[in-house]
Amino acid sequence: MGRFGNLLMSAILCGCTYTLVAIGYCLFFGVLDVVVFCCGDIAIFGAFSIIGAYTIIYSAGVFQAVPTIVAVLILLIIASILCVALGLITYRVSVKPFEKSSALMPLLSTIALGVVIKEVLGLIFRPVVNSAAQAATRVDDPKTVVGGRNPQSMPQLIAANGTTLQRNLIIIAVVAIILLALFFFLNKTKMGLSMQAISQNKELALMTGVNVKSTIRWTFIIGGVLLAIGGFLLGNYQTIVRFDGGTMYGTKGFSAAVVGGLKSTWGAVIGGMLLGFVEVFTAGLVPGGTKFQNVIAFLVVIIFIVFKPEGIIGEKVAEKV
Amino acid sequence: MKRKVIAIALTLCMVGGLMLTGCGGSGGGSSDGGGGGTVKLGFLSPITGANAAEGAAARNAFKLAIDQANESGDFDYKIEMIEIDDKSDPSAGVAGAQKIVSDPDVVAATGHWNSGVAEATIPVFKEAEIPLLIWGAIASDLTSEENYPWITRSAPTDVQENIPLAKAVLDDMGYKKVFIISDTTSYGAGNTKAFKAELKDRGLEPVGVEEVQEGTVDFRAILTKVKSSGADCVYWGGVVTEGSLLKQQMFEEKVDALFCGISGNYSEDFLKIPAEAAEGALVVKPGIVLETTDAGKKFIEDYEAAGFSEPIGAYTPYAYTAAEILLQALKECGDDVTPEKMRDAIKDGSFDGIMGTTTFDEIGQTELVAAYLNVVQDGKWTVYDDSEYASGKRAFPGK
Amino acid sequence: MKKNKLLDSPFAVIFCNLILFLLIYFTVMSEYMISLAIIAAVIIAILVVNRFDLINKIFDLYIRHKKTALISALVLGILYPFSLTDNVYVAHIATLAVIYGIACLGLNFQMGSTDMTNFAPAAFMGIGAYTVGIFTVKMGFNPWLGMLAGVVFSGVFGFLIGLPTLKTKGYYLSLVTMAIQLAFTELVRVWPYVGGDDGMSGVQRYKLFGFELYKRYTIFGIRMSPQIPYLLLCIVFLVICTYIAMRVYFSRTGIAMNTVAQDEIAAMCMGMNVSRTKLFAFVIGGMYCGLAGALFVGLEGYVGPATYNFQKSLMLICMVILGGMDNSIGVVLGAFVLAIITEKTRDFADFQQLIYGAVLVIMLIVRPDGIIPWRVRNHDLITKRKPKILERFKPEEDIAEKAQLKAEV
Repeated sequence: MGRFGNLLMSAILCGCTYTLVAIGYCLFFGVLDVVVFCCGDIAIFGAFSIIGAYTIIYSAGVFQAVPTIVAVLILLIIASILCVALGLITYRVSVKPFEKSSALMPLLSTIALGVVIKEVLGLIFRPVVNSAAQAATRVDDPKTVVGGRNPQSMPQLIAANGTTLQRNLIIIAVVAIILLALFFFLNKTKMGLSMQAISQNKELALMTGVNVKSTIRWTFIIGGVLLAIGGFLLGNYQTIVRFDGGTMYGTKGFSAAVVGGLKSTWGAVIGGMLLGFVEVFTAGLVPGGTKFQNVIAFLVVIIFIVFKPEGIIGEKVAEKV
Repeated sequence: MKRKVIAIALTLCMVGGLMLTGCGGSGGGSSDGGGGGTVKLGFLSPITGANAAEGAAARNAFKLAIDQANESGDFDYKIEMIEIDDKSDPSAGVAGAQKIVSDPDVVAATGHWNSGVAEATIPVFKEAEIPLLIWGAIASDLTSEENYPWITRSAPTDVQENIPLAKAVLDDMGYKKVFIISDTTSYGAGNTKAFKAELKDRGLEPVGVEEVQEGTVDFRAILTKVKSSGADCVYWGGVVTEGSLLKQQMFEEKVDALFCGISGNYSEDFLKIPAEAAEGALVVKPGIVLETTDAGKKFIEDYEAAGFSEPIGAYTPYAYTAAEILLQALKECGDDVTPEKMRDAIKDGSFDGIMGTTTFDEIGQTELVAAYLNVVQDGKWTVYDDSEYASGKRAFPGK
Repeated sequence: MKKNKLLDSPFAVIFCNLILFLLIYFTVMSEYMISLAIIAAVIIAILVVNRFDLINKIFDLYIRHKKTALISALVLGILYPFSLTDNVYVAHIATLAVIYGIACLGLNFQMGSTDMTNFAPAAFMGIGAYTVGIFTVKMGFNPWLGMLAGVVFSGVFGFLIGLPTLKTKGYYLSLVTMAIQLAFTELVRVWPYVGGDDGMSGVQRYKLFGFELYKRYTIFGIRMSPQIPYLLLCIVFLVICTYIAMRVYFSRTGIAMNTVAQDEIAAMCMGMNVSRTKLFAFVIGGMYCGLAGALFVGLEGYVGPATYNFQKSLMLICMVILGGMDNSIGVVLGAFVLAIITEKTRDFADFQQLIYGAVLVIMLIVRPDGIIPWRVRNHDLITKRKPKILERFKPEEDIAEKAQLKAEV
């Protein structure tokens, strides 16, 4: 692979990580009509829960006995359950109380909740995981957890013994499979169609007998699983996870969702890829451009909001009175 | 009603969380009278935020020295330490510095890992006429004629640290095509400047210069630039968090170049990446090899015996040295300690410590500059002179 | 309305001011446990008192006895700095609180009055601060000129940010301001001219007719902290800013801002100039924040990127919500409370961000209006002496009523 190929690979991977969190925004925005800003923090929480679960279960000597793929599945299920629970808490605490108030209230309160999530993560991760890992019979120490606020190294579970290229291809393939599954879910199942119906017209959906409550619950379940997988892939790609990484990750994901069009899942994919490409190519091709990569990414976002606020995919909607 | 229930539940969760982490233990802020029997020393370091590991370890070392002094019975008064978390944030640092100088018992302070924070608090200490001994911030302009004699520094500057590294890499090993990567913090910018100057002295130009934001995790785009520039050496002018990732990604992307950097990378955290990825990283560390002297060995033993949760970092011995300097200065001042007396005692004195004998030059910069090279060998930091690289068994990449 | 005689006398006003003064004094001076207890007690007291509508009555009282209130507040405000004597740390916190108060008043124009969440108040402060820094350190000008330029620049910057907002709203606006805040910090960090990450130190301090405003003075044999004269200056600025903010609030523009917040389309249909109103909110808010930034530099003598980052913006937003949106007094109170809490809980620095987040979440659920909530304008009181204004209001009366009605609902 030449230089361009390397850059292309980096850009696609970077875009993939943004895409997953952007889809989270889209799902929630579509069904609830509010921006759940702590998506990035939930994904980081997922990554941390994988690190914690891995440390504890490895200490207990379970993973040495099972093949990697089973271990990955176990970890993903644990992380998904935790992320879904966190998503539902988010809904209960920061979204539902503001159903009738200004749309900016849930935005503010989810930002605040995001701060709470990451700070609690930084504070209690070490005591909880360390003592639990010690309680388990230690076979040997896989990854020491030094402190919740320090960067945590992610256990390398994707293509653990393979090359970097293999790992990258697996990550891209997993994202593609998730996208296809999501597409199938949204367009072929009853629940997915209900979500789309609510997204288009909530009242009409209610009238035609769509169960809004259970749809919202399902949205958070799907979103939680997506974000858990997103955190897992992000951690494997970056090899370390920071407890406060969710803010930037969430802001970039939100930007990607807005660039693509807030209500469109495909828009999120395109927006995420666009941001990934802009960042990586600025860093890779412009001499001394690395320090401006975030600034340029945000500039692109601002230009889009000003000139095409409905996003790349998205219809202009006249405001209803 | 439901809202109230949620709110109460949240509050309870918060209180529970606080208890879980045992914040109760850190009571802090004790102000038992003060006066005659106590002398206070201020200590500023980042205990939260991005540089928490290094800052907390330094705080531990300082505390260790103070505790030892109190136990030894050499002082008629009790020495107390006011520890301030500057969060690597200049505003927080200034407020903390104000807190220190407003205490009438304070006679001296030592502080700062971040040069930007030091830059902001130096005026506060100068105004309040309290001597500040810098233990960790390395920007070369912090000690200057204007700041002398209130501001002194026991750590080497970025210029002083880069000299031995440049000598080893450029002169002894003969690397010519250096690609400089640093972060945008003042630490990174200072290093870039210092190393560029070293290159220029030898008639060389860096083949590329890139700056990344603090907290960057993805260096792959830059590495394609490194590859196409044909560099045989990558100089990393940042700290360990990003440095270890850069080294790992260099390994993954098969960049055939030497990785070198300065003391910010010397940390156990660097070894968290796989051993084969970390292999061959060359880092200069100021000071002396602690294990070779009795005082150094004793420090390591005491530190480990005290059971701190943070391991010893590259600058932890310097924080300990700063404490040793202040304590010896206190002794010289006798029973009636004032900030003025401390200032004179510090600037004129010569102090024996775990790193050797410290004296200060005419702008308050330490004259004790020692440094040695370290290399990662089989997942462990090894002193370069003892390593298989020096003996020729292994070779650095890019040759 | 039946009037309680004691509650209506000018003495009541002086009494209220005295109590406020003593509360602020003790909160600032005492140990952290005591001051936190005082803050908690005050907040609970306000919430309880609010049940009996006493807050509104006190507000009415102040407006009725405007002169007494202003003069007694001014006297106490001038005495306040001297009461801090030589405690440098306390004087520093007090000055910080006053400066944050000014910034929050600015943010309140956008967040409170017009319901446009601006996530970049710290960037505005940064522009004010950096202008002073560049003017004094790099160009050698007088810092007052720097302050003036800083205020103008941040106003212009507000105008420029305001322009795209005319087309966008809600989330899009929030994202634009967030992006600007993040980009601002990163840009000044890599700009070598302003010192990069090191920032600029040695910014010239303000002087007034040769009288240095940041210097130790000895008055009646008592050695004062160096911040005292500067704190006085900041208090004067805060009083002026609060006065202007109140005037704006009671003016047609203030009502127009509220109307835009309630229903933009309705406002447009009624022939209001929505763009002008929004731009006004951005420009005046930007200027307030710029002023706060310029004062901040005068206090610290240092300007650097880490001081004006996203966290600072969140803190300012938190202050506004805590105090009470669209209520100038409430906003200033919020700034005081949070600034003091921040410094007093320094020993638990690990938990500070968590406390911000948790306070915000709990506040939004329990009391989204803040400690002292939005108040229905009482035009009877203001217009009693100036019937001219009343006439000018006539054509807009239904709008004002609508705004009131909506707020009551």
